[in-house]
Amino acid sequence: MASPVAERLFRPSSPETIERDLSSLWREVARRGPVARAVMSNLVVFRSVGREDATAHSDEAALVSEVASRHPSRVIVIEHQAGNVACAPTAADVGVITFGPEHTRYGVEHVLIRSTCDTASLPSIVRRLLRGDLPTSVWWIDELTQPSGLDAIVGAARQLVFDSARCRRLREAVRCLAPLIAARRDIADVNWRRLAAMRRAVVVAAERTRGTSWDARAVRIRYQPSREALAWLLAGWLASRLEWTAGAAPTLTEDPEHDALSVEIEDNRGLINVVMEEDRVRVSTARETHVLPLAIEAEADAVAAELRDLKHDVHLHDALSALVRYFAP
Amino acid sequence: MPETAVSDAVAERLAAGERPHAGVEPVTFVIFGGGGDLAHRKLLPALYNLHVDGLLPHAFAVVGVGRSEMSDEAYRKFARDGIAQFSRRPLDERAWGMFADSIYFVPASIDGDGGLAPLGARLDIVEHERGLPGNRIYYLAVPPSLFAPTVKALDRARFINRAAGRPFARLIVEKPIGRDLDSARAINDAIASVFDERQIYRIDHYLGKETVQNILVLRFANSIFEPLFNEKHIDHVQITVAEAEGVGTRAGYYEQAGALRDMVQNHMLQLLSLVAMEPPHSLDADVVRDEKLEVLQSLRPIQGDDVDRYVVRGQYGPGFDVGKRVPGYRDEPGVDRRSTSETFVALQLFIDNWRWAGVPFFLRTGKRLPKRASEISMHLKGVPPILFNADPRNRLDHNVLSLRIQPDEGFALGITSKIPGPRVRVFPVQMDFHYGATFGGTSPEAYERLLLDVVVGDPTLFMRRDAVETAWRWVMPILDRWSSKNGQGLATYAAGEWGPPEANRLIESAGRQWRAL
Repeated sequence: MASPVAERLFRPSSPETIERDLSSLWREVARRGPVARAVMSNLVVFRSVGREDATAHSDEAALVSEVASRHPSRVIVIEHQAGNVACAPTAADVGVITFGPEHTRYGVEHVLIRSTCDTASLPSIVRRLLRGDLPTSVWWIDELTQPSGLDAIVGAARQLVFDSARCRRLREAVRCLAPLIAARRDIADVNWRRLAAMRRAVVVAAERTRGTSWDARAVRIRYQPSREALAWLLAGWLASRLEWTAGAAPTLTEDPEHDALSVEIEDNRGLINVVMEEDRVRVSTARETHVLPLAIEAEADAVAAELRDLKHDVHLHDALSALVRYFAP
Repeated sequence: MPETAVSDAVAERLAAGERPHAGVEPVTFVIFGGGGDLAHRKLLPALYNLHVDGLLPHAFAVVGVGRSEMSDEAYRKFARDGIAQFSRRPLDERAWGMFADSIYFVPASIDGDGGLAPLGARLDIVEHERGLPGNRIYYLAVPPSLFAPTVKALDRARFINRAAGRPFARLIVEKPIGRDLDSARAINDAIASVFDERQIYRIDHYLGKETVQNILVLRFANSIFEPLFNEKHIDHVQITVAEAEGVGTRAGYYEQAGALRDMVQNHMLQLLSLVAMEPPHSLDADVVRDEKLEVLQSLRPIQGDDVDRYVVRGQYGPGFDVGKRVPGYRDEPGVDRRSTSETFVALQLFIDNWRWAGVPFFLRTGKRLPKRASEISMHLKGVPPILFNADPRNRLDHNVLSLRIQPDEGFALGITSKIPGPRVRVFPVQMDFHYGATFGGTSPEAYERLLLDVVVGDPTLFMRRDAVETAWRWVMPILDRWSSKNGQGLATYAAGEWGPPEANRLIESAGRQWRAL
């Protein structure tokens, strides 16, 4: 579905004149050739500034554009530097990015807001910019930390999208999400998609061995450091599906030498080993080995896919609920 | 053949196929309160734009009346300033020059020595100089408390002849018509003692908006919607009129009025009646207004304990407006710190007629909401829980026909579509119509349409006495209940929120949710 960027047109604006400036920009774009204004959703992208990594900033901006090309939205980027007073945004830009060849060109509008207000006043900025009629997704591209303003911003949205792989402090991130999980808000973790093949493989293993029960104490998960979130999601999924109590957690071991994510399960029929490598998942039981392919999905494709799926993922919700219990102070 | 008959035949042949000039009769606009805010921001710019569009009669005059000692020149400057600031089009010097020549000001007071005699004398001179036959439109851009005295002053000065058809005299009054049923009747009686109902034009400026006029066109010029507008297909209807601003400089009025009187009793019930009315058998003014009245007469009364159950009143507290901290209502200039005036109302009502029986209508309006938006949304019933709607945890969005009154005027139909790709996945999408993108240019302002209709004598978009009083009769039990509770039951919401939690509970208890705007 991705189309190459044809043109980026951005102009400085102000919080008071955003709509007018956008209209003007669209007219300018239309003068350059036929273009369809594409919009499926409001996409509120939240990122905090102050992290002085220009490369990361640029990469994220490119990622947002790529996602928008796949899931055309009114993209509202909030670049926020946490402050402690309520104030209007400090700056705003508006932009239109067009994609595709000339005869099928479509455009996606962007609003970039720079804010330094306190988190309590952030929602009032976001709400003014949302287009009614469209479902709203919040993409928390930032680290989930507290206080985050997450509750307040997501309150206006239908869906929260984030990537737990970006969370360096996973427990804090889960605690941030706890109120949303309790309220059964629609949460989509891009990292959950990366676990799909692993989950399928575990199901295959269970089917093959016809195990009747898996005790949490008999489950050992080993992971490379960059896959901590994935490992815990796996643990949460197992716990929720197998109804393990909060006190019954599997063993999770970070292993820098381990170039994969693996789970070892000892049940009454023997040892099951499921290993997710770069491009495959291997399932080994006492009698046989299966290999399942692992689809490689670009981050932009993954995010866009989540944005297009407004269904409430009950299994992810249950897995996260299990993590909330595991990480409860 | 006599000469006259030859001329008529030629004129007839020449006129065939030509669009008749809407404002054919020369007229004098007399604006009481001519130096006020309404004239400055709305009336004078509207008249200017009608002039630019060639819709005013070839001969006309605009005479402002007020207490201040203003010369014609000063009033022209006042008008020019208002047009420059508030007109939907930039002021054109050439058009302004011609328009300005028709503007006059007469200092006069209805209770001064001589009453309106000075006005009468000046009008005679102006009309004589400009060749105007004496058709007059009197616009009462004054507080409602002055409607009756002004009308009586017109009568004392013998300005009005009810019996004579020509020259005509028409009266325009703005809402609010009273602050309750008794005062509305008193005002209507006072006006009716001088003017015939056919001469009276009660403005609700919402009815002049393009999008509101389009409601009837949408319903009755298309075959696809009307068969769905009934209890068989509509799950519920929402009408929202949201303002982002606070009370501003209107505290004096608002403290006495509140949201129910300011918005629900007039604008919102008018919108409701347009959406819910039966198809009229013609577009004659009274035929249309009869059907609208039927809706108001069919409203199920909300009284006694039902007021507490079906109506939420709220008042904004401190909060945020696009990041900036803003004060609560009680901290606004001119507001009593213990005020119990509601700045927000949400209510659930029913129309007890064959078409709408059992369909809840949810209305909400308020100040200091997150954005300025007015919308009517018709929520259709869901599809059966099979096929694409089989998952009880992920039900499809209902189809919604939304009519955007302002801003971004237009309408949209929300439907579910398949996302392109190898798998069957669905997503809610919009079939969207925007006035600006389709027709280009800027739409006439509501007052332009309404003033023009008064010039041509078309009362369709104006409220009739019986409709005004029926609407008052319906809201009175709500006001009486609130009055009996002495301010108790007033919910609060932070400025920048979509109203108090009680409003959410109101609609959620009926199994629905407020639409995100």
